[in-house]
Amino acid sequence: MAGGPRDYDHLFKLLIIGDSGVGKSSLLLRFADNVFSDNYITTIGVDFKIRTMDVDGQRVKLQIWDTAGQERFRTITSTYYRGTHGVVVVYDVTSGESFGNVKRWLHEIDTNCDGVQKILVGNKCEAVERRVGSEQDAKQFAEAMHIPFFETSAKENYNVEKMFSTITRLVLQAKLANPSTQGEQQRVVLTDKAKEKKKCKACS
Amino acid sequence: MTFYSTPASKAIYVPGRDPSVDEVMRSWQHRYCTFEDTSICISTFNVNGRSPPAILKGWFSDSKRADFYAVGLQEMDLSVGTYIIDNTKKMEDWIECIRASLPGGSNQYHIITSMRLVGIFVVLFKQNKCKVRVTDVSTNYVATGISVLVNKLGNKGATAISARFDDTLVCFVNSHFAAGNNELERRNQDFRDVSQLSFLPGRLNIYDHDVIFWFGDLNYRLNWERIACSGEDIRIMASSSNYRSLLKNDQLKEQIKIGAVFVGFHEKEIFDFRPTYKYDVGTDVWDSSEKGRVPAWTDRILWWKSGQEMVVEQKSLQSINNISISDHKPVVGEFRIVLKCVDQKKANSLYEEAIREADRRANELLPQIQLSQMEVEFGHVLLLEPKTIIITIKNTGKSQAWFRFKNQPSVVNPSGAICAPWLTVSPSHYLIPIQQSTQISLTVFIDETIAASLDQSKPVLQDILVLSLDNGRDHFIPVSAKFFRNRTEAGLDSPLVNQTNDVNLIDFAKFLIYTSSKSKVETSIFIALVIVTMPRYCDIETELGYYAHSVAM
Repeated sequence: MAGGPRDYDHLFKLLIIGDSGVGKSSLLLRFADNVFSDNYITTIGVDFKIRTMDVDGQRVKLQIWDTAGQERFRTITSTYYRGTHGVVVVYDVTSGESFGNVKRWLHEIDTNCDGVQKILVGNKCEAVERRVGSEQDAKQFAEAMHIPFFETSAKENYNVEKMFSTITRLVLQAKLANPSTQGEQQRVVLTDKAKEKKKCKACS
Repeated sequence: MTFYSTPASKAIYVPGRDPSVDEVMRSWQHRYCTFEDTSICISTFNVNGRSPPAILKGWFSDSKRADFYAVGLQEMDLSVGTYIIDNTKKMEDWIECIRASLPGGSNQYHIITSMRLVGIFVVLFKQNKCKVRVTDVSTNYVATGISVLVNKLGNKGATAISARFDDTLVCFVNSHFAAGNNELERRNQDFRDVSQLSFLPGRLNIYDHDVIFWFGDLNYRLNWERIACSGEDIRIMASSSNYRSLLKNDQLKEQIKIGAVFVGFHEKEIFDFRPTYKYDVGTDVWDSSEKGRVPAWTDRILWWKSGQEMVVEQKSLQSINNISISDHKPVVGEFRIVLKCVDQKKANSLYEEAIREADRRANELLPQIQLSQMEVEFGHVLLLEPKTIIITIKNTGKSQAWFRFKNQPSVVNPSGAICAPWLTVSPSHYLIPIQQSTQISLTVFIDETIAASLDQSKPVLQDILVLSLDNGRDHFIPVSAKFFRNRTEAGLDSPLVNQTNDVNLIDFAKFLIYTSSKSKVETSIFIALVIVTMPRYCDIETELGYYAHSVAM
């Protein structure tokens, strides 16, 4: 029926960042389409998918952006932080380097956006034999940074749903707690990419 | 599956909130609905203001009793007073006449509802023993035709009934459109006006129903001037056994065909009855009055359904020739429709999954493209020598792909252009239909001005193009080239060995000039070298092969 209510109460934009090859696209594919592929295709660009979920009785439509992790695209990908409500920082539990770079990624968030929700994700936790560093260390690090932490496996569909609903809940709670500060960000529209010229605070 | 067992929400599926979810739920309706047949008989009759007899025998078939009868009358009351005083006497008489004429007589059916606008009257009867649940009954009207001040008189227009039969929304529209041979456009306008009908003030439009039966004196005529010299010829044709050939000139069928009115509606293709208008009252004789109206199928029954899942079957369409109380004949159509019964619990349990499915379909519809190369390397480029590389973009998705190269953020390129000054990209935007490809040419050209602006200490030029799909993802295309002012600087002066690493489409022309100065044998060796060292340029390989062949001859 024309002009009726939508099937969702909130529309949020999430961003997935982290080193190249840590499984950002796999996490998105698992979460949005419930599929996994062993073929590795590096993301050269920025992709997105949508998914509607129910969080605390509220229907939330998520537009989730998956970014290229390669160093050489860093400057360009930093322009996609605008209007983001939540950021998923991913590292690979089998790569010490990718964990070492988490700090840099967190810093990237701070320079590019204000007041977004963050979550730290150690992916590929099914690869027990190749793991470097303990879950405990990562947990302590996350606690020190005051951000929630999950180990996930996009391959075996472990914790993916839980992780995304956690970050979504954080975003939702932040919005409900302080609706005015998020006023700007609420205007994100699925099809609207025209406003991209507008930058977030830190860039201007 | 664990995947779908997201925190059990108490979500209740209500159609109409999200069209994409509704579409999924409709395609899944066998999973939460049971189905049952019902029969509906529709009749339209312009009664010419006549008073009804107690019964009109033969109006409805006695052998096939439908569960529902929807009857639309036009010109039920032509008296002047009816525009001013709401005189219900005639309406009541007609209701009694219709009820008495239904198969089995008055006590087999009861009225669900009725609606009158001056002489335009619609009534819905239901067979007493029929088990279909009828709920959410509402009526409305639209007045068109003559205006008095701002109000329409209601001599033309429509009356309509909306009801839920079990869980199928059914709409009945009885309309009377503008009369007159030359009023085609006004009839079309009447259609558009009546299409705006809504029920439950503004919340339920006619196209929100699962099925619409639209009937009445639509007044569309025959474009008879094309086929005959006089109305008399048409009357003769209409009386002959060849009357069906007149359908080719039926205005309504024509208007539907060109998409002017009743888009998506169905009507029986061929009529097995003569035009239903206009007769001398009391006879089967075509209008013999001075006006001598030309016969036409003015009285019609059309239907529309919401989607493939809805089953509507027309069993018959006929006119009742022996009813002669009016200058029109009544038209009767019988239908079978399949009603659905929703198991709300089951529907609710599928709701989450349907939302997921709608998301999945939406993701699948996001534009997808494939690039013939992810990265573009120009190799050596020299001052004032343009070099071009073509990349192919294929639309591999399920939607058309409109792409454009995005202006670069100022952190990357202060000028905000789509690429660095040494590069040109063409076309910079384009629409690729599904499964088709397009080519984009990237050209590096460095003149003195650009050269002066480059950092001479770094011969490697790099840029990243951002190819953005409308309502879709962005692709990054890294582009690089090594700039040298001249061949010596580039170390390209030994032609045979070095140049082979670097031949491209532009160099090829030069290379032909070069080879023309050499002997045939030398050239053939050269070409063979080029072919061996350059397998990636397939087109050139073929061309060179061809050229080598012709040189050797």
